[in-house]
Amino acid sequence: MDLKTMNDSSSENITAVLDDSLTSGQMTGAFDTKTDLKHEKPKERKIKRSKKKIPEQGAPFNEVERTIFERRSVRVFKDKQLPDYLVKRILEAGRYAPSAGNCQAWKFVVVQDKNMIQEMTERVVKLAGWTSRFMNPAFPKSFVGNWFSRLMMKCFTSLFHPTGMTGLGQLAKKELGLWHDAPTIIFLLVDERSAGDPHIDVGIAGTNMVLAAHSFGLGTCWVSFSTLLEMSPKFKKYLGIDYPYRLATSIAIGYPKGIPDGMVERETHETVWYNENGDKRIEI
Amino acid sequence: MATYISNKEKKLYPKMSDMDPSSPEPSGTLLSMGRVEIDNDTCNGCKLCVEVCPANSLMMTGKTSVAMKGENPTCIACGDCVPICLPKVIKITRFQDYKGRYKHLGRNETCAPRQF
Repeated sequence: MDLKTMNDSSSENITAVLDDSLTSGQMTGAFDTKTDLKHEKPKERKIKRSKKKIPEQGAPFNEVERTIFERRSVRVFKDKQLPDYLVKRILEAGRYAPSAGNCQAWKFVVVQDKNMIQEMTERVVKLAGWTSRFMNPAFPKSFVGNWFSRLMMKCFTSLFHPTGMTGLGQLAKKELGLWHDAPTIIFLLVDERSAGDPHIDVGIAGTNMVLAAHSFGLGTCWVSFSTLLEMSPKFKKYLGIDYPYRLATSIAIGYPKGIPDGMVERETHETVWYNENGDKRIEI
Repeated sequence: MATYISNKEKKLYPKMSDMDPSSPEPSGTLLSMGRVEIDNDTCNGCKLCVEVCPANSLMMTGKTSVAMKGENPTCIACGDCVPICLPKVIKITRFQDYKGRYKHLGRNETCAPRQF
């Protein structure tokens, strides 16, 4: 399907009138203002695109907004495998994500092999155990004391976040699933040579894929603990994580059990607002 | 109106032993987990909330009654149990709260998506 037929096949029509006067006719040598700039009759050309409407105040949510607000991370999947065309459709949504300088610094690796997923999960669980022993004093058989966690929380606040440390410990004790028995996992690799911040671009591509999947009624869950796989040379080779690529994150996709999507309450954040007159106010 | 962390609070930190789910929540703790309330009269016993909970902190106490697991449940107040419940009997009563170094700045009351 080429671009022309795709743009023509949408249901809404918008007729646009283009003024072709400056491009019509041949430019041959001398430029005569009287004849060459003469405005010819403009040709009508029908450009068909999907019609977008600005909602009125208090209008109900449209389809895109509903997909965004009803999205939930799904951790309970059915065993049924996704058909190939559906996964390709989701990857297409990721392909069309914006990126700094259009560098598109991502690479997708799709893994559907249950044996490999099992092996990778075991490896990550073992690595999580060793990492926890070096970082978490509350983990059994830990090598570090409370003074260490105090110091590390001051220097590397994000890396030693309590929720992250607890999750790592639960993963090592097998109380928390890694990819939650999902049938398909998409690994997102990031090309470190890209312009700007390539990790943000990978996040944008991932969000495109997650929202596309949720619009079909599939379930997704972001799993960033999979970055522990970078410590294992065997799985680095399997996933193709060589220079310049590094493993950023992964998304587990599958058919959800039940209908987990729905709207929930969420915390509001303060937003600083400077209006046209220069007044500052704080909106919630 | 913007919140800030005072120097006194900056010296505090959540101790790692506070994260152990089996130990009871000490008073003045720096990380409090979420809590959920279930109306057991209207529950239909489908067990979907117990299955979907990612923190594994709900359990069936009878055929049509659900309760939180343990003395200090590890509920992270993700809200996954709220939309999956068909008769809509579950409600979140407390969200996760950090104090000290990890205190949330500029957070306010929760609400559903607003149609402006």
